[in-house]
Amino acid sequence: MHSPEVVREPIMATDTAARVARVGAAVGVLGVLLAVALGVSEGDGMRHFFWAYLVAFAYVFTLTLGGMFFVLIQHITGAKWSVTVRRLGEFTMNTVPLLIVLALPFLYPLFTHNGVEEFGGLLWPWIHAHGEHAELVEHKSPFLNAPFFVGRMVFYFVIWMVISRYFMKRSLLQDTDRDPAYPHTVKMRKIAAPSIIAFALTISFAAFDWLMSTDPVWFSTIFGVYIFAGCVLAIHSWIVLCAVFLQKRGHMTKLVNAEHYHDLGKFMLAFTIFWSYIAFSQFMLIWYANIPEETWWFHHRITDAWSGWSYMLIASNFAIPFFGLLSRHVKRNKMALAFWAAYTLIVHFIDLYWLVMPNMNSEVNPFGLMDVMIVIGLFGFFVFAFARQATKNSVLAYGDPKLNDCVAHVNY
Amino acid sequence: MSDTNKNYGILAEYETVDEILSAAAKVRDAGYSKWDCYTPMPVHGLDDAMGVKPTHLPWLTLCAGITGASLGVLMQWWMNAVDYPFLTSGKPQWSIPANIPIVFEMTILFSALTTFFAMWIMNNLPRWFSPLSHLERFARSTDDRFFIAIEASDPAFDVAGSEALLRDSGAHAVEMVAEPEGSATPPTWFRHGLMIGATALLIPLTVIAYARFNTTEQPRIHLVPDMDFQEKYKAQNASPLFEDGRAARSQVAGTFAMEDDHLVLEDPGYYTGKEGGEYLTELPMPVTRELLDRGRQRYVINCAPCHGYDGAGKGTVNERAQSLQTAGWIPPSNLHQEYIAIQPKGQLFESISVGIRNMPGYSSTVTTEDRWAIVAYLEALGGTQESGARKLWGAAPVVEEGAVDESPLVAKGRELYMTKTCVACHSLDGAQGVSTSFLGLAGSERKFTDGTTAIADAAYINESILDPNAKIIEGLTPGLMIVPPISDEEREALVAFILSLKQQ
Repeated sequence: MHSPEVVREPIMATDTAARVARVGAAVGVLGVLLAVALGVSEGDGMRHFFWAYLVAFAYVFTLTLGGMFFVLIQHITGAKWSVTVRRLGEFTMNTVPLLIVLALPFLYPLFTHNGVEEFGGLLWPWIHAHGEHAELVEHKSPFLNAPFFVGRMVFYFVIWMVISRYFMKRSLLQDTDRDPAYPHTVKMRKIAAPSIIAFALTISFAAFDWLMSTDPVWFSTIFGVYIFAGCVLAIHSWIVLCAVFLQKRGHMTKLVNAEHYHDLGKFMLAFTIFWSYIAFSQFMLIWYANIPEETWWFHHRITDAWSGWSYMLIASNFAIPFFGLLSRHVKRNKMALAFWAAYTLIVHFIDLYWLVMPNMNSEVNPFGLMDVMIVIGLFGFFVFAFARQATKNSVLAYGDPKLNDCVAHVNY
Repeated sequence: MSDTNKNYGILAEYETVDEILSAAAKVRDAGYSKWDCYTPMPVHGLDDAMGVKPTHLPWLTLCAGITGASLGVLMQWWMNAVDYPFLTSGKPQWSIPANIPIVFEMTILFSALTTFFAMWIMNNLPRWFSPLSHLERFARSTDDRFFIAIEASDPAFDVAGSEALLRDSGAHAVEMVAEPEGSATPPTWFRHGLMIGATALLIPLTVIAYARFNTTEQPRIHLVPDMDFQEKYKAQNASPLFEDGRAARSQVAGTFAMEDDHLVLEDPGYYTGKEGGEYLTELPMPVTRELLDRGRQRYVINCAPCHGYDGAGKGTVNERAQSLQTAGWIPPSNLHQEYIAIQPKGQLFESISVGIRNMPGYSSTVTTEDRWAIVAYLEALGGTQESGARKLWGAAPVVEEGAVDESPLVAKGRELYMTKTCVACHSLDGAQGVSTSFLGLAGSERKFTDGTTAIADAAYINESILDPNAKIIEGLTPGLMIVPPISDEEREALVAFILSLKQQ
């Protein structure tokens, strides 16, 4: 309103980003090596390792796809508030190639006989259907078979590559284009609409394929939405952390202020509630209908070995962050919000672990150092892929027509 | 203009957002407290410029939300577990997961209403009257002008000083606002109308209180008739949709409840009441006090409505059907009849599980353990009877082979007559029960609903067992008799038994 025009120039965080990328790569290599070593030492034919790897993969996957949703929704709504932080979402989204590399190890359990078939195989139990539900799983084999599974995986990756490349490229072109009609922004808004449909379908089916099929008998139609809720929660937290970090290093100090943190915090609170709402909706219907083929999934989780983890989830992923993020003062204080963002990213792992691991072993909770090392390792690689982009490109989408509005943005 | 007592205050007009923001900051810094800004739309930063303190409203909302959530839990605990315990879907009577949607709604309701009304109260709304609304100039506050009004009651107010301040702040016009003549209170008709309205609100409460503590002979008023009288089939209704004319469908042959699927093969006696084709004669578990208590509880819930608390077949459902003289009503069996009392435990269990005649099977609604508990309780219930059945319960069948002077085939038929439960409807003493008595049936002339007649010979009796609904005797209801689950040899014995009851 009365803010002076923002100077439209790139904000290069080259040195910071290069350092972060190096640290990320080092953490990635060390984390994965340590996890592999620990996995081998367990002597279970790497079964625990592959399951933990899937959780870590899901962690990076939800962050990346969260970034994609963040970018698409800002374009489709013509959002002004988010312009100064949107590039961070674009960098996140643009780590799809890393996701493809990280998916390669899944080919091993998919296409080998590895000697642990009698325990349900290395990973997805439908690969070598076995045990009392083998016949039921056999009926699902037209969908759940390794070649088709890989085919779908390739299909998702192609869609995501196309979307992320497109929006990254256009956004960078917009930076330097001074055409007053803003053709790139207009184009991105148009393309965002079909893209978000493709996003919704691919993320749902990817969630079904990679995570829900860890229990091939169980099914829940809301599962994709559940994963989506985690994605959105993770990306807003991640953007808060990145923005606070960049500002600590002296970048974008005037471009992201309490108003923007307030909005990011609102989304964190809203999606904490949304996640809880979806999680409870899934539980409620299954609990109430009490149909054995659905109920056992929760039965594994709320009895015996996993009950503690399940009750912890209610506190750690709903009650604590809900009250933590409720206050306006917390959301407008960037250090307080950064704390809750880091907290949210940690409990996001707790959620994914709870989602997957009881399907590996419903009687024992195998949580240990290896589970932590592998997610830290893959997250390190993610940070590397993320930060590497900031070494070459501006961390601000400085050509965006709504940049001035964004900086002048005020919450009521 | 010099007499401040007659002034409401002073009004200044501005044209842009920027103007009013800087003017508001000046008024704030001059130390005024009773003043306000009037703008046609929300203006960012105005609360800062005015020095408005952060609101306490969020705390009220939080408290209201917590209150709503707690009340939601408390209400459901009271309703479901204390005041009116009612079993739903086999869930615990007070079940937190089932409470959560209501708790959620109560939280939203309480916080939203509290926020809404507290905001009105904290803003001194609703206001009947504002002296400013009399000014022609002020009408543009809802259109394209911005105003600041300082009230004369402000301790820092002084006409000259305040006017100078506002002019300095860039006002385009400054105007003294006179305290309008007349009362600032609402007119009499409005106050009276309000009081009448508030009193009228008590009428529904009075009616409710009256209805709560009085009884009436009148039928209730049906506000939503299609909810009160739904087009649906209830248990025991007739339906033209199915061949057998019954709306309630029995379980598909050869199926059993899901929980038991693989267990049936492991322990057929426990799950079906039969071991190697023979009914169990004893319960497959020790009879304990707990089992009997459980059995009584389950019996009262599932069986007593028809069979009565004492098992004599005089439950409320039956009493009601009798009083309505429902056509085709088959009264529930007196469970102390001889033929039931002598049945092996496994057969009773089977009847409860898969149903018998017009009684549906209970395997899908009563667990296996509970069905056995009911069987155990039935024996205890039989022991309470003064009739001969008291002795019968648990005793060996009284119809012993050779007790009556008859051929082995007829004797076998007599036994089947008891065990295959023909006795429930067909008496042996000539009395017309649910159906024809077997005494004197053979050789008599039967009249059918289609007007034809036939002599009841062996062929007719055979046909009637194999296809009970082929010919319906006048006065009887079709579809009631089932094809008894018997072999050809057994049927031969039954026919021989019925023929032996031919009246000389």
